[in-house]
Amino acid sequence: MKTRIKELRARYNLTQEDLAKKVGVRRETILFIEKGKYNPSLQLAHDIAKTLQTTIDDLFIFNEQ
Amino acid sequence: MKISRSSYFMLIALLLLILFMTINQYSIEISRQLFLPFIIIAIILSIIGSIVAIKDKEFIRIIPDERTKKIDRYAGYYSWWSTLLFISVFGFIADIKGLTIHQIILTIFTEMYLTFLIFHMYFYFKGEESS
Repeated sequence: MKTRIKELRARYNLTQEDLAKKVGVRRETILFIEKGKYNPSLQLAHDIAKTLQTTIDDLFIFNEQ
Repeated sequence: MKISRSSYFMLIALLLLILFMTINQYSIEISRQLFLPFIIIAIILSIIGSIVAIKDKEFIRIIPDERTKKIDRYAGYYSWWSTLLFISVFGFIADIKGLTIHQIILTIFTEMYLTFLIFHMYFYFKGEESS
């Protein structure tokens, strides 16, 4: 699974720390989600998508296999 | 259980103390030789841990989130099962060697603490690979 979090963060000029504070998680959690090393809960995915003004579908790119 | 990367240094320092107590139960001679190196390493680790905690702004309170809670659960689960396996094997060894109750309890406690810490660090730094 890949994400567009980094790209959208840059668009809104947000650091990992800023995004983490907005969605109420640790900075490392955002880092691991961006690296594809952590699968967030549906609630967290929703919160991130809402903060970055997008949808979950647009934010996360799933490998169709 | 709230553990962050700064806590690892403190917990490893504590592990050294527990390990020292366990070794002391088996051989006083070896524990005497290890006392000074263990104390020095434990102090250094505590200082590094404090520096990292201050840097991460988590000296007083560690902020948990869904990822850290998940890692805690995973580490606890794997540590529990490995301890169960360890007890079943160690039970036979303890019986054959005729170990005292203090040796048995401290060895099991050390194993449980050590495996929890190892699994916690493993899941903390490795993460989970997406399929």
